[in-house]
Amino acid sequence: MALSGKLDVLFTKIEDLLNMARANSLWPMTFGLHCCAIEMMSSAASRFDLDRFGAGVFRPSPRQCDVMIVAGTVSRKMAPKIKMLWDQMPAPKYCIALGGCASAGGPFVYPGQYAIVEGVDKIVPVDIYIPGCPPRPEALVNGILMLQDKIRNKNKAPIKLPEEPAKGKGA
Amino acid sequence: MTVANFSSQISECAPSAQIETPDFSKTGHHLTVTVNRDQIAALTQKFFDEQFFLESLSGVDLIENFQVTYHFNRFKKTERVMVRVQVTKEDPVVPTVSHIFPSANWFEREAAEFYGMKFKDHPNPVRLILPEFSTYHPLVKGYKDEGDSAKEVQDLIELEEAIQKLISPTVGQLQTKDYFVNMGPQHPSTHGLLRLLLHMKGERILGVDPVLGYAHRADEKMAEIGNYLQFWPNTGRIDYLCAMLYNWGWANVVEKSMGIEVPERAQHIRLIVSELNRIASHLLWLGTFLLDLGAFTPFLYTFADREKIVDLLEMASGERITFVYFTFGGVLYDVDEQFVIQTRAFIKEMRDHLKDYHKLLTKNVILLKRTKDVGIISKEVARLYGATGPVARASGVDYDIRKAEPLSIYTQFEFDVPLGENGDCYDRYTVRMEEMEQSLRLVEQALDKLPEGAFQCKPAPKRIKPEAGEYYQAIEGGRGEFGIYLVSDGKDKPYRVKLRTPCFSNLSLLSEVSKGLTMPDMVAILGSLDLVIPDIDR
Repeated sequence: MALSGKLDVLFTKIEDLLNMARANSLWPMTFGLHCCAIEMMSSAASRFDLDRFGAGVFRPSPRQCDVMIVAGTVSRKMAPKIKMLWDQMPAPKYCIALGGCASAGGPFVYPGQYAIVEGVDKIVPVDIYIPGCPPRPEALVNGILMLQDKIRNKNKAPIKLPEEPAKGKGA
Repeated sequence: MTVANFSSQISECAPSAQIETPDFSKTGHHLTVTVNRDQIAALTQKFFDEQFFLESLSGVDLIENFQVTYHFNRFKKTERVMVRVQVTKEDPVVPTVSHIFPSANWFEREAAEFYGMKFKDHPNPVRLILPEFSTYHPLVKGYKDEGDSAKEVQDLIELEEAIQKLISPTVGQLQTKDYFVNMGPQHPSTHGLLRLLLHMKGERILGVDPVLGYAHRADEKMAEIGNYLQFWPNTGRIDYLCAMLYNWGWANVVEKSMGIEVPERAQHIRLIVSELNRIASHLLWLGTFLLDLGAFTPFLYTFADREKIVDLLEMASGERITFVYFTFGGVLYDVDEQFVIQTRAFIKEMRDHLKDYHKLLTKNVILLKRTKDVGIISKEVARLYGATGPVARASGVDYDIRKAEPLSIYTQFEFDVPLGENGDCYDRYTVRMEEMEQSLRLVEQALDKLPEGAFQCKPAPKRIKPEAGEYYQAIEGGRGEFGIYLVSDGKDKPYRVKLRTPCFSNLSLLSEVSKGLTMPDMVAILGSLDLVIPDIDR
């Protein structure tokens, strides 16, 4: 029937609408692991103010959150707890690996190390990786914006990166 | 009585003890004593009676033997005694001293799990930092994790799920008279990955058992793997809130062991950035402490002020938190005129803001009700558990390493050490507020006296190789005494680095002070202790 085609269109539009809502009201989990947590706090506080991007409502309970910012080194003792927290979050859910440690182990990797998990992506799926040790709050803000972009254009890849400013000769 | 004539008393209670008097300015020890293991309890009792406190206890792997090193010190004026006990690897059993100094309880558990030693008659010989069921001893020389780490993590996840299944059916059968509440490791008021097992009766706390190790990153093992320079980044990441001070701790122990002279200008710059960092750390504490107590606004104010300090430190070092600004014999970069001008402007501004904080908070009824007479730490408890820093000073213990040791050029400046009277949460609040003002005074004086000259020693030390020996140096971190016990074998890598961190000892008294209190008081106490979890777990 011709109607089905129209319904399809309608369906995707609702999904887009929902994604737009999701993207603009991300609730991150209050979940600091190490040094990066302080930068995460800074970005939520006065100067950087994550609320401007709709992502400033930090919730301590995983059941109220939709983005987990893994801010710091994941130790082996902590890994099962992170998995548990991730499992408790309702879908759709997103994960940001903040800093070198959460992305790949950072400066704490050496041959034969026994203490940490080299990257949180060994336990949970990660949407955005933010490099830095620790990343500046601006980097986290940029990461949140990229995540919003990813949520809005769920099926469209790749994500647009901000263009580099043109380099003038006189500068 | 001083340490010098204390040696005769030591030989009385431990006849076979070998006593040496090393150079204090180099090694940081007034006396070193080597005893047999069966005399250690009697000797510790002697130190206890003579008003010492147990500063640190660490294990060392000497290939053939294990060594347990005890550091005893006195409040007020540093009088440090190191006691060594050596045991064979076949029979690594040492009598516990935790019945004399409760602070030894955790130190011994830590040494036991990292080296596989055993402490005879220890009240609770279970794992402290490593996962509960682990069987390896990572600080034994030559240990490497050869296993499949991905599989190990998977095993841990399965184990956790199995435990959850095991626990859940028994929940209904539990007696409700007294019960356990689990707090953390993901809990907003534990300031990171601390887990507390609270034993409750009704609303009252009967006891607390902290579970550590969720933030363990093996800093001590990494120190043995890299050379002296390669340990710098780790020093900025142990207590990341006062990274400058921890930089100084590492610089201090290596410089003193090698006799490196630091130029005047570098010492002044070190003092300025460290004290600024201390203020930043206390500001962050103020914001989060009040956030825990339910006040959101101060958090925004203190972070605004903290950002200004972070800007200044970034101007000097190029980083925002985890600084690696110090180097052996000075600092990495010089500060410019702009830094001096802006720091002066900041001091003026900060003084006004501190007045505002006092107006808003110090007489605030809610703050008073939540903190006054809550979590009282007596002077004696502070000594038994080896508490230092603002936590001990709030209880009236006059111990500040900037005065007691004395460290670097602090003797040239005027500043007071604020002391509390009752040792409750409110006193810890007032002591830290006062410390911020004293730090501002220090920075101001140092800026006035900032001399011209080199900011690094010339020529720069090419090879960092301290002579074989044992060294212990401490600095006053933002949370208390940060000591480094360094064992060198004369090579370019440290043989053993034990980090004596303030939060570890400050947290160990939690069970003692929280008996009979309620959950909201617990949050106030945790906030007032000002914990940084990687500082505990290292």
